[in-house]
Amino acid sequence: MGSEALRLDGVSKRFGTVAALQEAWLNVEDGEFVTLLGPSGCGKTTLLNLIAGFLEADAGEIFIGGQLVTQLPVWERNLGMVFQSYALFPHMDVAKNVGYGLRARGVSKAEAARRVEEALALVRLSALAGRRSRELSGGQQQRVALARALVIRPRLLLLDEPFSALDRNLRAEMQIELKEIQQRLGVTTIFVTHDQGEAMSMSDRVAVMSEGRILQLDTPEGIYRRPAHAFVASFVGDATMLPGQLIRRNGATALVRAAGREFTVPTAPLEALAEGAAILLYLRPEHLSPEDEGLAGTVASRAYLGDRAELVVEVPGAGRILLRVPGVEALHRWPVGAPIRIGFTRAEPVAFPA
Amino acid sequence: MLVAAGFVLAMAAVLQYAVLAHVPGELEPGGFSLSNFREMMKPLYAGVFLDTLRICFLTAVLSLLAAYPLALALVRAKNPYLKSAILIISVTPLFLGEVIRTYAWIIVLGTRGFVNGALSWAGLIQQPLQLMFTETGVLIALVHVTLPVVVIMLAAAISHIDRDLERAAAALGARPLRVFLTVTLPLSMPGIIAGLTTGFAWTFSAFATPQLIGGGRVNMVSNLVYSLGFASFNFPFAAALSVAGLILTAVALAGFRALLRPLNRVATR
Amino acid sequence: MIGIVFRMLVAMLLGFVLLPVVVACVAAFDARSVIAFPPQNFSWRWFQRALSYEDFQIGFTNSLIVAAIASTLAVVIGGGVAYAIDRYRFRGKAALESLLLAPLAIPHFTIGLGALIVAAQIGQSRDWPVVILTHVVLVLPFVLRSLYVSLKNIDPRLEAAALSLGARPGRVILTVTLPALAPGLAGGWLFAAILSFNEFTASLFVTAQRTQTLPVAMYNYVREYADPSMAAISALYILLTTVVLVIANRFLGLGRILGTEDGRP
Ligand SMILES: Nc1ncnc2c1ncn2[C@@H]1O[C@H](COP(=O)(O)OP(=O)(O)OP(=O)(O)O)[C@@H](O)[C@H]1O
Ligand SMILES: [Mg+2]
Repeated sequence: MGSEALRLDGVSKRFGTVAALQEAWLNVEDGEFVTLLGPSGCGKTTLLNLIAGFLEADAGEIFIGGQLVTQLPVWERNLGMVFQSYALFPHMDVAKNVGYGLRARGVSKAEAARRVEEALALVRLSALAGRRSRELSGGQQQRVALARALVIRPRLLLLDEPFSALDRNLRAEMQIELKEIQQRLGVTTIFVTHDQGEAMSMSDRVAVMSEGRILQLDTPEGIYRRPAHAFVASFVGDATMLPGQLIRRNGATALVRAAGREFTVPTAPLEALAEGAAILLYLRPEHLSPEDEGLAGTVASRAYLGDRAELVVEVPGAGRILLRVPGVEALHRWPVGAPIRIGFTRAEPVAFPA
Repeated sequence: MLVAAGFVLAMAAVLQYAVLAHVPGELEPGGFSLSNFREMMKPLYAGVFLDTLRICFLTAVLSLLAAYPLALALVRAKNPYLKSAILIISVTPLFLGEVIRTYAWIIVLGTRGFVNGALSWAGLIQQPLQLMFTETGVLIALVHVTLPVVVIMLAAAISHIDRDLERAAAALGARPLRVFLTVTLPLSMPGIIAGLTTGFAWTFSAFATPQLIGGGRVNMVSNLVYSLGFASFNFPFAAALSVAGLILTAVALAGFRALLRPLNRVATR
Repeated sequence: MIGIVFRMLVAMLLGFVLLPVVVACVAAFDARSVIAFPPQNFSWRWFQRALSYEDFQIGFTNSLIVAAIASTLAVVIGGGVAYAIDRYRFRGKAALESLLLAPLAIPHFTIGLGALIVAAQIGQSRDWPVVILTHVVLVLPFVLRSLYVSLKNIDPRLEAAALSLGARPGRVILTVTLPALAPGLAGGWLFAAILSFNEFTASLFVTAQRTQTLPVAMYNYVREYADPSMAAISALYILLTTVVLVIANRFLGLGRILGTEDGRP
């Protein structure tokens, strides 16, 4: 880590009446792997296209490696881009595809051939250099696209949902492979996905987006354990929401009441609230467990998932609470209708204005 | 069925007449004879065939060159009004029919027509340019006739090119001209081939344009067929010319495709 | 830089396409009886003359009749054939299909000549049936093509659903297939009517004085007279066509009909 690789200063983009991106601020360090995560239509592709130069920002500035690039055309930005559709040139073979950027840069034939070979070795495709892109599997096509983007030694590697067309196993394999290559080369990477698992497992930091805004930029752990917005808390991971009130703030923590109990939560999201104001308490299902002293309820439904099971517990006066228990235990101890007591000793609750 | 039968009958009649002898002064043809095809080898008729092929080829190529920028602009225009305008302007001539379009070109190209009027008004020429009754004039009007179809075919092909391919090329450092030459152009090859062959076939079929603008001095097979049928009432020879024309276009188009196939393979393999 | 050059090129080409159209419209308003540029005194008289010229009137009526009958026949025949070809297998299917599409590849003068010879042989010289049948042959390929596309776009599950609900096949065609096909049929009919209305070369061969269509009448006029009546009728024609196209584009999306748009952004 060290110098700044990418900076967005209040970048905005509208399409007609749609505010696709509103005042995005972002700082990415050299060698970092940053993921843009958010639901469909939240502006991830728009942000990526602004960085790449396929779109022009309405307001704000973009810096790549400290250089102002807002006015720079795409072809002078020196970025590696990987598309969801792979976008391999169908009229060229694998080697020609990978060498395309080098030819555009006027790299000598011998040098280009050497670098193409190197890049294909990097993605373990040396044997397929002469193939047409149509004769490749999805995973192979994706690796060619990656090699093509990396061979030009880009200042940034941009990937827009690169694995969404792959099946689950291949997807996991490609995630590991991409992460390894990224770390080996130390290339600064901006990765777009709407799959939170993908985002959490690969990224150094995650930018959670919603409705054209970057809501939170943090490490995966920070996003999960210290969500700064209700949207982040509910979009990343599962959560049960319970209505309650703010009792008081004590510096960094605050006391709230919900389901007849008191919880200590981070103050930050509640900064603007008056005491007594309505809040929503967010609880992660795996942080809850059956405990003797817990909140009493009955199992309303049960989903057995093998290693674990999810129980929906009806708590009178509080609503339904989701909790996760080991699979075997669920089968024997918690059939539907069984009484259960939910304990909060491991809970890391957060609260947001209701 | 009746339609299919009628069509088959008509084509059979042409084939049949093509091998019958012409009896001067009679509408009814004589007996079997290959004299029509022998007659065709005469320089007068062979020349018309060569002229026709040349005109068809030039028209197809010129139409393609003129249509490509229009098709590209049509597909790539971002403003919907501009897009509609380009589309309507490019295809309107298609729906005007050959006679009106040809007539309009007569007014443009004639001795006292628009071009000569404008040029002499601007003081650029003293004598009017001879555009009517020349191959240049016929070519200009024919290109105008075939242009809309070629635009439509090219636009269909270009619109099927995945935009991400061009984006990928630009991101890899290719400037717009390079993107065009290495990605857009090769990938639109199917449209280019379709446009060229259709342009060729349409031109071959054209009658009013060479008839009115060529005015007898530029003759295509269609004009010859018509004048043989209606001026000399030599239907057998007219039929033979038609058959020869069909064979010739088929051969020319097959040749076209064979020539362009390697290019197409580059584009789609 | 390259963008500017490209834009200028496109503008020039659009100018080339528009030039004769605009010139014809301008010439139509020149009061002089021989067309010459630049135009002088403004006048409507050529429009009056064109509209009252008997051959144009007869040609217009004839063209309307021929276009209406020929395109209706083409849509009826084409509908049946397209449906049969799309849904059933039968002997000679491929042959029938290529036969009906063949007129696309054959010059109109050849088809006209053939029709003329056949008409003479069966003693039907140049009368309505010959003219109309020739037009049906010429426009049928276009109708077939547009109907194929619409048939392909019908979700076969709709018909399956209707059958599973107990509708008999005939009823399915009437209540499901035909309504779904209606836009394609209408589009095909309109396209056929326009093509037939504009058809010239084959008509020149098969029409007589009594049956001559408007394009033939116009052609004869151009050969005989040089006054701007023809420019006037061209101007009317251009106006009408443009209006139809603008409306078709607004409501039907010309780009989609002609296949110049992919549907994707
Ligand atoms: N070219 C465009 N014209 C008009 N609106 C657009 C355009 N591109 C995107 N939008 C709109 O901008 C918003 C953001 O779109 P964007 O493609 O950035 O979303 P996304 O986060 O990438 O979604 P997805 O996960 O579905 O790819 C959406 O509401 C979209 O409809
Ligand atoms: Mg997207």
